[in-house]
Amino acid sequence: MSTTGQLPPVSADEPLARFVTVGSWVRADKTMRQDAFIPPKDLNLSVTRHIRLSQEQFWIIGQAVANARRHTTLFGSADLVVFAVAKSGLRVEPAPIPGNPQHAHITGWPLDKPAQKNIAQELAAASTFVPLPGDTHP
Amino acid sequence: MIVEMTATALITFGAPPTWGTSAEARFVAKQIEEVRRQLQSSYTLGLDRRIFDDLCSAADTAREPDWDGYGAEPVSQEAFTLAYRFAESLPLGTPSPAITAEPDGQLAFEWYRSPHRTLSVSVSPEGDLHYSALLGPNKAYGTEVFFGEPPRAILDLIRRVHSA
Repeated sequence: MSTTGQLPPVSADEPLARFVTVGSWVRADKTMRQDAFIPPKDLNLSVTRHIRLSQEQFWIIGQAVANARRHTTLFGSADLVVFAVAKSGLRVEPAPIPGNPQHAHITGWPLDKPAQKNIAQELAAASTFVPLPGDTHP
Repeated sequence: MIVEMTATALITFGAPPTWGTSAEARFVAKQIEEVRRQLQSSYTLGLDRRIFDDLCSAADTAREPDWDGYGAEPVSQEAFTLAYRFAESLPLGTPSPAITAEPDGQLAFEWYRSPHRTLSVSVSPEGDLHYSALLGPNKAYGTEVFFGEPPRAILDLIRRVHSA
């Protein structure tokens, strides 16, 4: 893969992906629920930058994410641009990990749950669900 | 006829949170609660039984640690019990929500018309209701304590999400 090497700084118009590993994160009308963007305890929400990834490479990483710790199902990705994250007062910080140099965190979350939910709703509304090619779920 | 009148009264959002303190008032409240439970069991009036099935399904999906592959916490018995009570407390005629689990192990109720007109209410194991709504260009979020009756603020938001 040509995914390694120095990646450019994160830009406002750059697309990001949150891999969808839970079917209920996607509504019947194929819009995203806030659940996909509720941050974990450490307030670092994992995303993957699309930059320099072919479609095949992108989905290989998605499968690896789904299989990493627990064998969850990969349903697709929730894609959004960095601008939408910044608009909600959050930041995107590169956080490369083995096997995924494009890995990044959405950070800067407020500490209280209602405010987190509100931002998660905004990110969900700004995102687009892209199903895993050939997948019939969810 | 009596049942019909009772149902009509109960269908109104925001039934009184208290029923008085006299023995008679408590008896009436108990009777009403019983009828309400029976009505909620009906497929023709009140909340669809599927809400309780969905609640069980969401909790079941999230019963193990890391159920989402991102390190999510499992739904606890306390969280499930309180979410069930919250579902039971919703007034008859309330639009049915979707129910999902969140990464912190809380169960969330979602009322939805569009991505920009939606309400989500999380029930914490401590009995807090964390809610957030997008209402077109406006938004509202906060926390209400659950004392067995759905707070007025949340009922109002459900109505606003589903109003034209």
